[in-house]
Amino acid sequence: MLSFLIKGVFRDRHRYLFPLLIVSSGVLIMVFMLALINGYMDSFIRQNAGFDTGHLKVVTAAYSRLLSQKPYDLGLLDIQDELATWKAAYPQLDWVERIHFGALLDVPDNLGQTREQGEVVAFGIDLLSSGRERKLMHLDQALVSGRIPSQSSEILLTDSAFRRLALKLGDPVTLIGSDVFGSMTFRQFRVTGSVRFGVEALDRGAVIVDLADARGMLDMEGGAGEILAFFRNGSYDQKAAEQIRDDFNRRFGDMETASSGGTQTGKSAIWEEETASSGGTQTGKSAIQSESSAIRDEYAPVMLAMSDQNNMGYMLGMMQYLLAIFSLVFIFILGIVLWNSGLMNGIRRYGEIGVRLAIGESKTQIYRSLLIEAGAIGFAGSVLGILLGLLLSAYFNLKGMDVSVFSRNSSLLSEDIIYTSVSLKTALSALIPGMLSTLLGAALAGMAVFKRQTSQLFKELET
Amino acid sequence: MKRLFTILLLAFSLALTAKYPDPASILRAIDANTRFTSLKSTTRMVIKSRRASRTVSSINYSKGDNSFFSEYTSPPRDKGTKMLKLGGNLWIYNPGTDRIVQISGNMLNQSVMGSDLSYEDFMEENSLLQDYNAVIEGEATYDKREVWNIMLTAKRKGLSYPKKRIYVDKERLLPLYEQWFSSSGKLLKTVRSDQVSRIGNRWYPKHVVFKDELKEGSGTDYYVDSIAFDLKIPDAIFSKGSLKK
Amino acid sequence: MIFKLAFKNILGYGWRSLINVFIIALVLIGLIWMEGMWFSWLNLAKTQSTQWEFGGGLLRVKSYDPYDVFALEHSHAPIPAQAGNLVASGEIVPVLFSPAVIYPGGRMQNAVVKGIPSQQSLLRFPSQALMPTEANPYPAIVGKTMAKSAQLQEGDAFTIRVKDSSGAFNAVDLQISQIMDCPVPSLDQGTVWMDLQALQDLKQLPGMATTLALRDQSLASVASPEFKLIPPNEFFADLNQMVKTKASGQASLFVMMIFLAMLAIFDTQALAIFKRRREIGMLSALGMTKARIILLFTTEGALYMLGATVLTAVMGFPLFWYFARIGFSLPKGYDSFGVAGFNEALKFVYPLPLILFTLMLMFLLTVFVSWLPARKIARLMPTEALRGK
Repeated sequence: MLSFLIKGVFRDRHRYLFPLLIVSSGVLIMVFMLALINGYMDSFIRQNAGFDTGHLKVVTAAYSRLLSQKPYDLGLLDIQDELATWKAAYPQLDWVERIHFGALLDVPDNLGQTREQGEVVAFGIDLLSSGRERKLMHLDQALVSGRIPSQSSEILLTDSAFRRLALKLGDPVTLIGSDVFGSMTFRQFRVTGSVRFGVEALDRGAVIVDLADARGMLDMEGGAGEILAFFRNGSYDQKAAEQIRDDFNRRFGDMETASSGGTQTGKSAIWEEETASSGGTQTGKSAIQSESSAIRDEYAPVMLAMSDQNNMGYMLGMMQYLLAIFSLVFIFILGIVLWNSGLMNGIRRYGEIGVRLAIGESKTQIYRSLLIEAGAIGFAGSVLGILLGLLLSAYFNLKGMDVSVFSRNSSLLSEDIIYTSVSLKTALSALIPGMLSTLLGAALAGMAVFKRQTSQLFKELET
Repeated sequence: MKRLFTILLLAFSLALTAKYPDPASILRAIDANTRFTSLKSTTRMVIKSRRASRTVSSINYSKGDNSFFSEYTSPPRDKGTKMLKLGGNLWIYNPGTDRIVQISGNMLNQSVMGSDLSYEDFMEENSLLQDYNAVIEGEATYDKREVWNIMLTAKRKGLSYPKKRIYVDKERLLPLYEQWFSSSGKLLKTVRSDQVSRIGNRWYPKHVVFKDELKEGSGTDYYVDSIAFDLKIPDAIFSKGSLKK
Repeated sequence: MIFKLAFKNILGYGWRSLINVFIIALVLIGLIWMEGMWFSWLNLAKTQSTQWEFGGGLLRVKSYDPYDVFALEHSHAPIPAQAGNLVASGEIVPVLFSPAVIYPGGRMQNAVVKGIPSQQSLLRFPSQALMPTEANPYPAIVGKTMAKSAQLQEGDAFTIRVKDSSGAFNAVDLQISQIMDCPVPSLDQGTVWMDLQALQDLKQLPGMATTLALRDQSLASVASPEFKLIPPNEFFADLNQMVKTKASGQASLFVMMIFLAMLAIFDTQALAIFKRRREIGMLSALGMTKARIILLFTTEGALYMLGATVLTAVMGFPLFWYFARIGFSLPKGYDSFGVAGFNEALKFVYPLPLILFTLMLMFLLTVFVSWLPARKIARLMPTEALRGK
């Protein structure tokens, strides 16, 4: 019976073509949109992770309390042995070390005297030993002129600083800063290129140098301001990240709990210790409190998950929430469209149903057969739509979709090219509204069957 | 009646001045101890930061109030770094980059080699008599020595520290403890001197502790290993040319 | 005549028409809601910036360069003499900027200190909290972001050090009297606020200011040559740009929704034309020109849009009204986004011209997609159509 019905549907072009087209195009749009939204989320996460937070980040306890100030003088010193241990302990992670520091960029004239000066934020990242940072920071895309440093003592400037200081490629510049002990420190660089990240906070005045140069300049051999870790498969898994964080802090951290809540509590304790030891204005109470926390090493490593930093947890939650709402609305509209098409489909077959009723088929039976047919069309259409949607998404997954028109000059971290990202699970989730809406449409449309009056049948037979 | 009052007041103030010597003469005596036509010294600065302690050594030359030159000899990282002060200007030479950079603006706020002294402090001239009015506010015992408690207020504008309180050794006429204040009276820095010894006809401290009172930490120890006053120092040393040599 | 006929036909479809109308209405509600959101957000951000910083107009010292920290030490000028009375009466609010070093918890940190008259009421800035009291002679305000970054809490004292006009250090212990929830990030990040008088005293810069916020722009005539009027479009340039880019990003998602709605109409129309071939043949045989028949069907499609507009008004009204009255509040934490307009409930204001434009556009689109299948009619032979083939 089933195969009879299905054959019936698919042998009559009129009966399947249009509904099928609608279901599959609707499902296609949905799959593609979900892929696009996922891709956007991924891009958002990737961008923030790559530039700033990592999927996970290791800093010292003291650094973590002033995280937004990036206090490199509270950074991790001589950390290579520990890092090797961590790498071994978490093989699923990929690690990069970075130093952020504020410095003065001094541009000499031909006599070596100061011509211009400007304050900059410097990123010390590993540019030479691997291409990983190039990718994480999107340096190749961000490059406006020149090239990316390929040897020691080369520097990239953001384009606005490059212009403001009236520099040319190949010009020598000097970075002046304080080393990790506070001593004034200098380093000479040669400008190899300028970059624009599309992030105002960065573009205003940042420079990028190789990590080894930064270490040498700041007297931080083997050290880092922060060490970022990324899942090797490239995508952020909140649960896994939190597990690793807790495990890391238990095994390698000095603080009892350095989880999201834990840093908070640890924070105030050490904070009071600091203020108390500064011998200043604090009350005796904090001095007593500090007694218990004083034993803790404020330079012990602490691991933070992405969601612990910069309100990222909140932002991600919020985004997921908004996207869920958006998807729901979309599914709802798609459902109505398909239902509408189901209805129309029913109307087309008014005559046929009349005949079937006339030759004695029961209304329930007709209704059931209508539903089965609709199910078959819904299924076929959804599968087709999913396949096409996957294909389309896969294309943009490889090629990327250039949305730079939309995101130019934006002050938030966002990428110009969005790569759609779709999992089979997401794709299959489009099957449900695809099927459901066709079935629902047929179910409602088919209700008409029960309203038919036999007396009117013959009139309809004429058509 | 009114006249009587005036006389009484005058007598009273005379009694006060009789009790304390003329503060200007004390400043003059201090200047005689601490000022010089020229000076050459080797010093060590022990800088204790939150994480480590390190020692920076240098050879220093000074001439009058306005010319100062020093070359760092250790640690290796800082070896060869030179600093030159000429009048109101300060330059630093960095051997690694072979650059001479003038320190100005916000940079002057920065500490010298991570110590509790800022570049700005280096720019201070050191004649108390010329820069400050003094009032003796009392006597005390400090570090087992009898001292005058003297309040200094700036005579002219442009001094970084408009008020200073100094505790001056009555016998040796050398400040043993100084408090440097902002114009609103906020304590910014303290200077403690000890190991006072006789060098020629002067008293001079061989150990000074500078402390930035706004920052946490225990201050910077400054040791004078050798010092010689009023030598002949060639003028060429106090020129930008000598920075690169 | 055609309109009447089309209307009757639409009514004749009954609730099937209603579905189409409903779909379009949904999309329209979404569109209007989104337009309302962006517009109101931009509005709120501007209003907040105006209330907190810009006033009715802003005069700024010419030497001030937001990108040059070195210039800040000297970015001030005497408040023009003509402005004296207006300052006293609160029509003009002078603000003085200065670089500063603060020592929260004994750690040195560079900051910008700004002085604002504690008695001012022109700007929404909570400057009353800067009024010195017995217990707190040097009150200070910082924003939430700054408080978090410098780890300051209400009641905390910290030292601030500046250079006065003669080059001498001056420092005082400020005590936080309020941590403000400031919607304008530039007034929060890296900034410490104190009383203007106190800062002028501290800096020995009596009667100096960096900016003058005016009650309204006509007061700009008091400006001395050192000051320059900042026009609103210059002041809000970044904000406008930002909203534009964000809004266009979301619009692309709506394009897909519109596409779906249009698909539904197209589908309905195509089927209707298929089903009503006999009717078409009849009309044609009765002497109606094909062009008029096409017009009839196109009008039917357009009527969906009209119906949808009405339905949008009916269905959307409670929603629109809710957002206009109660507003849309983002939970705490969103304000660290770095743009104004995130810390209070966003009460929607609807941009009428833009909404009318959207309706117009949707109308044209609907007409177009209803016309597309109707073109087929032109190829129908009246005789065939009469027979229903």
